[in-house]
Amino acid sequence: MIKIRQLIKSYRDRLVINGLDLSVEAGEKIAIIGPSGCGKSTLLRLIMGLHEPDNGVITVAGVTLSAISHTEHRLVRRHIGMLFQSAALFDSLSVFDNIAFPLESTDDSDRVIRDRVLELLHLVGMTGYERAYPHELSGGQRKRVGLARALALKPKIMLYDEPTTGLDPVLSTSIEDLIVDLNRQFAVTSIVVTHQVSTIFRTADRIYLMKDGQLLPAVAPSEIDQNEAYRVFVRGGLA
Amino acid sequence: MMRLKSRSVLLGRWVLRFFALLGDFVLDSLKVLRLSLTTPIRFKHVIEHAYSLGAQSVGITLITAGFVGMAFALQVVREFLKFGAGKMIGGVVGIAIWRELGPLMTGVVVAGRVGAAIAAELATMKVTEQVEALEALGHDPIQYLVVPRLVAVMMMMPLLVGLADCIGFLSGYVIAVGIGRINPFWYFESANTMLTLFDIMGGLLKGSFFGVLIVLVSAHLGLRTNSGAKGVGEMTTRAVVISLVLIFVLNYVLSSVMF
Repeated sequence: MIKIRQLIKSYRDRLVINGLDLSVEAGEKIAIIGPSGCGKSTLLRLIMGLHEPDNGVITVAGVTLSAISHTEHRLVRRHIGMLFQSAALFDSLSVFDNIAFPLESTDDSDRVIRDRVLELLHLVGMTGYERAYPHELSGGQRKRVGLARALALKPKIMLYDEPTTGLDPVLSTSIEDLIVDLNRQFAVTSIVVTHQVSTIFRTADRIYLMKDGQLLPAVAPSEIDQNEAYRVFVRGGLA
Repeated sequence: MMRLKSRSVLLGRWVLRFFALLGDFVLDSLKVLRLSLTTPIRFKHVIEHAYSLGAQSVGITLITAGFVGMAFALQVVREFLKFGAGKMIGGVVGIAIWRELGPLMTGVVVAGRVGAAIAAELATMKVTEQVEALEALGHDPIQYLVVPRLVAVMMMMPLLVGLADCIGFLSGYVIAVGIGRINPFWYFESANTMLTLFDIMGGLLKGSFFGVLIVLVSAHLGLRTNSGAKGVGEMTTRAVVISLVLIFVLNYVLSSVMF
């Protein structure tokens, strides 16, 4: 579903991603961990096509991103949903309009759009908040609405940028449950970038540690303690 | 020698940076103009922006135009009456207002109010990832965010300038007749004789140019913001300052070409 070869990305003089390789199969769910500023979010933005790599090849659902036009890029992006770290809801739009936003560019009727929005609100546990505005919601609620908006076009791939950061344990668990449910129900391929240990264990089949602009070989959640680099990062050096 | 060399390097870097920024601005502006002409316009958004950016600027524009018109007329009345040229006051005030003061005052007011609003709003959207979200959802941020604002401001600027011209001219009338004791007939008659349709249309056209400039500068800087609340504040200030300076420069260029 996603194949990345020898990816390189730098900002000004700082090399953020340095020859990164990654392969994710359809329906798989992986987590990428690593220290702040190591390039995890940049990797998601490169997969989404929001940033252009300096070098390397990214293939999403059989389409090589560097070989297509901007217009085609926008079409590919419709198959990918992204939950941003801040949820990135549009301030000037209500919850309903935020979720309906991606659907407005489809040929669906107003009634179909309305039903889909209500279905998504139910899915993320936000029924009854249609008329609320982003500034009236808590951090967890905003993330849920952001998730509903990302799912509006039924994407085949979901990218989660720190989905549970800043949330209390109860809200974190509910978001993690949603990620797992989406993968289970709709076979959505998931890439989760996170710092949260609970999120890593609950949402991923494979875990990658990002270091020096590259991904270390993947481990299963149960193998973390057997790998020194992973154990140090996840357990803080405790045996 | 070493000091001279390091200064040369600094100057060279500054020049390169300046041209890089200028190049970015020109490319962004060309893209905005191209999209304005080649893509469907979202009229719902245009009307919303025309109201918030244009209609809500009417009050401050009229107050500014009224007082500038009165202050200008006061000086003209005093000096012209000394030379017995009271019959020309209406024409002189009219030419000054329609050709220069009306468009320039409106440009300054709109740069302060609308330029700041556009830069702050887009910069906030940028730092809160809303612009990236827009891209992720398959929209071009320039087409979605900038083009409707450009069309709205282009529509509203001639109207604002026209209103400012009328209020500025009538404020001058109040001073000329009230303080200068000028015959009201001569105020309007001299304006009718000295002003041409080209003076009026030229002033309105200037307003449209200023509107385009304000939107292009403010949107470009807003969408280039990267660093949190501090960056939003810096870019908003920069957008207003650069817009103002460019308006004065463009005003001189247009005046020398048009009139």
